[in-house]
Amino acid sequence: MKRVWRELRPFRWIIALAIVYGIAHVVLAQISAHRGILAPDGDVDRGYAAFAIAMLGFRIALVVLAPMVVTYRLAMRLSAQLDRHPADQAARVDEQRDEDAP
Amino acid sequence: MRAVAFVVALGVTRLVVPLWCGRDAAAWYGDDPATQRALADELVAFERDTSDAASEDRFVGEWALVTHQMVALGLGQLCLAHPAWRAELAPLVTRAAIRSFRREMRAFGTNAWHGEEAMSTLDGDHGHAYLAYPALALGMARLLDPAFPADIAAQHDALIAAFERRLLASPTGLIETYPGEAYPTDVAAVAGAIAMHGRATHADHARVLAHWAASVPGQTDPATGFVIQRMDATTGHAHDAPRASGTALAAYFASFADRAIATRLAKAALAHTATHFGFGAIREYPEGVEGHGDVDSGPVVLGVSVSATGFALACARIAGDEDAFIAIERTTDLFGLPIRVGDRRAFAIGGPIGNALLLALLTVPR
Repeated sequence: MKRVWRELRPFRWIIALAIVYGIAHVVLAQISAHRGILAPDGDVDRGYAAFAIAMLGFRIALVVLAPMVVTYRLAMRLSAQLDRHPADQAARVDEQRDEDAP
Repeated sequence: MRAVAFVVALGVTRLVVPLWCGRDAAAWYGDDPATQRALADELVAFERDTSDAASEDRFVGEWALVTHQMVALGLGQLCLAHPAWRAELAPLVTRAAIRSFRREMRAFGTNAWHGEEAMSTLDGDHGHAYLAYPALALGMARLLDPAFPADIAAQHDALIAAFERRLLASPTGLIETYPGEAYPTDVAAVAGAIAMHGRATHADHARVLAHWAASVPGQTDPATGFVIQRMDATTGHAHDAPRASGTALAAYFASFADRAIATRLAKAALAHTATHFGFGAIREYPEGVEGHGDVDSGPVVLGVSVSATGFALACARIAGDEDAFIAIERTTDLFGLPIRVGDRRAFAIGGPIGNALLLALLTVPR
């Protein structure tokens, strides 16, 4: 469990965003049946508009920014591991040499 | 290394995000019945839940008229595409069409004409072209519903006869929406309504439709193919710029009357598609023309129009341009806030009018 949390920790704000978006999405689905940003007489429904625009912000953050951030972090992590490999190999060779030495 | 990771992230995002947002585009373009039905069911529920009593004080006006009109047209198009749905949906097409035709729905027009009620002055010469919107919906309902009420049918016949007479009498092929103001898009709706009446009643309207078709070039900008948004009804002088929102909606209405004109207008609108990262949107004004958003275009952001972009979904289907359709549908998905409620689907940002428009535009015959 600790390992899972450690792996997910860098993405915690994205997970939090997804949870908040999910809850707000359910609320929006319930209240949007007969409402939109424009009221039937053409006026702007200010309360609904504010909520919907906030949801739009969440959605764009999740759909556009989240994949970018996740990919960036994964790419950085992969490159760090690749960087570490040659050093590890050199260290192991040195240790083996020390053990083999008379 | 950070730069490489950033480039990789950008590349993955560029691939993944359009794919995700366009996940339903092929289903819409391919007329997938389940996809169409899910949005239709949202509007069926809307029509069933909206009581006529409540509509008298709350759900009235220009936007309500367009909402009911587009529900009728969208559901009607589905009946024509899926005859098995006709028995269930045709009565709802009639209900929505009759609601769009209620007197209080057109009060905005009566006010603009200083109290002149359009249906009480059918012998007059004033255009009242906004009534083409419910007239088109009534035509669709009469085409589909054998139980369409005879008294409303008689009013519809009289309205279409008035439109036909006014249009034939106009040398410019324009009739007024409001005093002194003609909108070629509304006149395209008049032509669509006349043509749909002909399909429903087998009345011969060939002469007036030919007169309208011959006048369309005079209502369009030769450089862009856009229709002029607003013109003087008598002289035909432009009162506004050629614009995409009017052109794209005119293409939809023209598709009921003359497929060749509809295709020409649709291609003109699509020629002004701005595509970024796989997402398509339509520029409202031609290059070199600056302008703001208004009630027709919706907000104009970075030169692209919300309304024109939505209407262009129909243009892409009319023109058979699948790539453009997919690019524009992605934009609709990203910004439309698609939601699911049980088996129903909807676009939360637009509410009933947005859903009604999208059903009609996403299902216009290809």
